[in-house]
Amino acid sequence: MTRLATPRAHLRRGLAVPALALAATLVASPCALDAQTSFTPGGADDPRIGLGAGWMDAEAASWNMEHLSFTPRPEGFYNPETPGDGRFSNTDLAFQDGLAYVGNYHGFNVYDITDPRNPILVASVECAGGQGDVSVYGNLVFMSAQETRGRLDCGDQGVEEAVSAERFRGVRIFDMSDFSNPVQVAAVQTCRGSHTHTLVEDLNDPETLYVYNSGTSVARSGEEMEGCANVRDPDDPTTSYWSIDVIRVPLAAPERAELIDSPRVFADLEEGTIAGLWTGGDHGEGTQTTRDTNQCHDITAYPEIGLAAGACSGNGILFDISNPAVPRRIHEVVDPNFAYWHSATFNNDGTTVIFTDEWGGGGQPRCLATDLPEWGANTLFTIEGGRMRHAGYYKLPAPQTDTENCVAHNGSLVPVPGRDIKVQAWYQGGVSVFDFTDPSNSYEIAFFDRGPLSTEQLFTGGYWSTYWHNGFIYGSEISRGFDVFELTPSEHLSANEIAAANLIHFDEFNPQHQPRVIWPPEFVVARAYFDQLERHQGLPASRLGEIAREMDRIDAMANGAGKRAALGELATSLWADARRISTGEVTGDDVRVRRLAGGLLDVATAM
Amino acid sequence: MLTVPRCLGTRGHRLSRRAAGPAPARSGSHLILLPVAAATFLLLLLLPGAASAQFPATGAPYHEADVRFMQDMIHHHAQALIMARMVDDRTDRRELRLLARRIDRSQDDEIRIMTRWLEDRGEEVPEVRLYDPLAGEHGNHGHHDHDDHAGHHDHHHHGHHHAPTHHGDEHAHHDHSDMAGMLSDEELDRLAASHGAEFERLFLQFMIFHHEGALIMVEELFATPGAGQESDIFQFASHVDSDQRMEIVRMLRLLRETN
Repeated sequence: MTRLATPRAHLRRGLAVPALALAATLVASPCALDAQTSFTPGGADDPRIGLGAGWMDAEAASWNMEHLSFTPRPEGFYNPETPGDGRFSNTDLAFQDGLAYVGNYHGFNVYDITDPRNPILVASVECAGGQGDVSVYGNLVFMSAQETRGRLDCGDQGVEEAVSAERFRGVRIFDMSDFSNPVQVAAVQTCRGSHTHTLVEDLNDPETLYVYNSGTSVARSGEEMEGCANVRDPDDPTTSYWSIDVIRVPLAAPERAELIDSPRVFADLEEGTIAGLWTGGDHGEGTQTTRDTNQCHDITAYPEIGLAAGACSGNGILFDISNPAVPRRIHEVVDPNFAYWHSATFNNDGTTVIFTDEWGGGGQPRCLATDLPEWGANTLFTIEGGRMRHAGYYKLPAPQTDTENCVAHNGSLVPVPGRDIKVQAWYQGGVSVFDFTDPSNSYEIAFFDRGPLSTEQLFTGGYWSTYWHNGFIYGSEISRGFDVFELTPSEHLSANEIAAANLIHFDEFNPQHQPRVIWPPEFVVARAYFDQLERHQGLPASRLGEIAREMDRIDAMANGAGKRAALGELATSLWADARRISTGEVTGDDVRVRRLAGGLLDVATAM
Repeated sequence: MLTVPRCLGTRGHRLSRRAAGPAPARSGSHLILLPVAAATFLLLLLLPGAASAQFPATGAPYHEADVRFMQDMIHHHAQALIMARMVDDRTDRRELRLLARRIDRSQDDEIRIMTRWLEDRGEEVPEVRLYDPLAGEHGNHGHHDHDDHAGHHDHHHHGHHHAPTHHGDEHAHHDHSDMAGMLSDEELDRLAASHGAEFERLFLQFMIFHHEGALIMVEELFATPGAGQESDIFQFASHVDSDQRMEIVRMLRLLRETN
C-alpha cells in the first residue's frame, strides 16, 4: 500500500522520542515466568496465582505463548503519577497490513508492526472524549466519542456550557492519507454519543460503508442536538433510548457521512412498545441481575453470512444485515447468569456465537476465587436456522486478586483450520486463549498474565482487547501500553496448526467486522487436520502411523501427476476409513478423518 | 521527525476552582498552527522536542460541582446502607432481602470508588455522620464504630479501606435532608419501628424516593455547565444512573406486589 511509505519514512527519525520515555521509567515485564509443564489451568499450582505487583515491573507468567514486545503508551498519553487516570486509558485496536491503531481516551496512536519485536510509533492523534474505540477502512479512521467533555475541535479542555455547539459526542472520521497531517473530515453527532461502533460493508455496494453506532450513556437534550430527547420513558416516542444508530458513509465523499436512522430494534410490535426486550431485574432465585435492554453495547457484523450479533445490555440479539442500512432483529436470548451483555464473536462457520458479560462494568474484581464461573464469563450459543440455543460457558480459569479488575472482555478468532479458537482479554486477568470447537466444552490452551498494578488499591487496568492478526496476538493494555505475542507449539496446539493459521492474511482487520477465513490449499493445512485427528485418537495408532509416513512421503514429492495421484489415493483410503467408522464397523472420529481427506484433496486439486 | 498532531484549543484550561497542587507545565510555546485541508476541523502539529515535554500530570479538568457531587453521593449512599441493613430483621420476604443485599453491596462498592476519586485528587473525603436508628442495636454501650460492620458484609475487600462509616452519635450528625432523596430522622425512625408488610411497603417507598434523589443529583450534575465531563466522573455518574434506574424498576414491581 502506498500510504505505508509515509509512516515508514518517519521511523528512523522518530525513534528518539519514544526512546526517551522508555529509558526514563519503563521496563517490559522483566521477570516473566515460563509456566511449568505440569499444572492445571485454574488449579492451585496455576502460575498466574501470586504474581508480583507493579505498574511497569509486575511479574508475568505465560503458557504456550511468547511475549515478543512491550511498548509503553507514548508521551502525552499517560499520567506519570498514576496508572489510574481514566483520561488516558488505552482502548480498542484496529489493523492494517503492517499497522496497528491503538485507541485511547485521549485520541489514538498508530504503530508500525512490520517487526513485531519492535513496534514503532508512527503517528499520534490527540483527540479527547473517550472511549476512543477505533476502526480503519482504507485511508479512513473511525473513532468513538461518548463523554460530555468531547469537543468538535478535539481539545481536551471540556465544554463550558451545558448546551453547546462545540460539544462532540458521536463518531469521528479522520482521513489519514498523510500520517503527518491527519484531518478530521467528518464528525457525526449522535444523541447518546458513541461508546462503540461497528463498520458494516455493503456487499452489493462497494461505494458505501455503514457504521452501526452503540451509544450507552446519558442522552443529550433536544436543545443541543435536534431530535434528541433525554427522557427515559419508552412510551415517549421521542426518547433517545431504546435504539441503535445507523450511519452511512459515501466512501468517495466521507465528509458527507450522516446519521440515516436510529431504528427501534428492541421493539415488540405486537405489544406496541419500543422497550420490547429484557426490562431489567433478576431471573429468579440465585440468578444474576441483568440490566434492561435500552442499548447495544457492541455489535459484531459478519456480512458474509448476513448476520450481526448484538450484545445489547439485557439480551443477546441476532440481526439480519443482508440489507445493512436496515438491520432486522431475528432472534434474541437472555441468560440468567448475565449482568450486562457486552460483546460478541462468531466462529468462522457462523454456527456458534460467543457473548461476553461485563459484570461490574469492567472496573470491579470479578474473577475472585469466590465468584461463580458462570458470572462475568462468556456464554456460548449454537446458531441454527437463525435461532440461538445455549451450549455452555467459558471463564478465565485462574482466580485474580481483589485489586485486579477482571471480567470477560474483547477478543477475536485464531484461525486454526478445523477448530474454533479465540484469544480474549480479561482486563487485569490477562490474555486467555481457549478452544471452543465444542461450545459446551471450552478449555484454555494458552495464556499470559501480569501481576496486579498494585496490591494496595484497584486501578482500572489490564487488557482492553487482545486480537490475533496475521500471525501475532496484539494486546491493548489500558494503563501500561501495547503488547505483541506469538503462540508457541504445545500439546494443545501443534506447530502445523500454528503454521496453518499463519497462512491467513488480511490487509485490514476490524474485529467488530468479522471476515470469513478461507484457508489456502496448502499441505500444512492437511497436516494440521492430521494433528487434530491424532490428538483425538480418531483412528487406531497403527493406522495413524501409516498415514503419517505416507503424508511425509507425499510432501517430499515434486509437484506433478505422481503427487496428485498419491494425494488422491490417500484421500480415498481415508474416506474408506470414515465409512467404516460411520457404519459402526470400527470406532473412530469420522468427521476429522473426512476433514483430513478433504484437505489432501484440496492440495491435489490446486496443483 | 516524528510528527505528533495535536488539537486546536487551549489545553491549559482548567475547570476546577481548586488551587492546590502544582500548576501544570504546558508546552504551549512549541505549538504551531498549520493550515490544513478542512478548515472546520483544524488539527495542530507539534514540532519535535515538544513531544518529549512532560505531560501535565496534575491538572485533572474536573469541576467543583464534580467534587460536591461525589461528597454528597457518599452521604446519600451511606443512608441507603443504613436502610438496607434494617431489612433482615424486619421481613422474611426473599425478594426484599436479595434486593437489600444487592443495594448493600453495590452502594458500598461505589462509596469506595467515590472515596478514591476524592483522595486521588486531594479533595476532602467527608466524614459521614448520619442518624442511624439501629446504632444502639449492634454496639454494647454507645460506641458505634461500624467499621466492623462494613467489613463483614464485603469480605473480599481489605487492605487500604477508607470507606467512610456512619456513627450513632445522633447529636453530631449533619443534616442532609435538603439533599435530594434523603430521609429525615423521623422517617428513619418510622421505618425502623415497622415490621412485616408495613416495613416492606415503607422500605420500598422510601428507597424509591431515595434512589430518585440520586437520579436528580446525576441530572443536576450533567446540567451544570462544565461539570460531569472528566472521564472518571462521567463513567461513575453514568453508572449510578443506570444502576439506580434498574433498581427503581425492580422496586416498583415489588411495591405493586406488596399493595
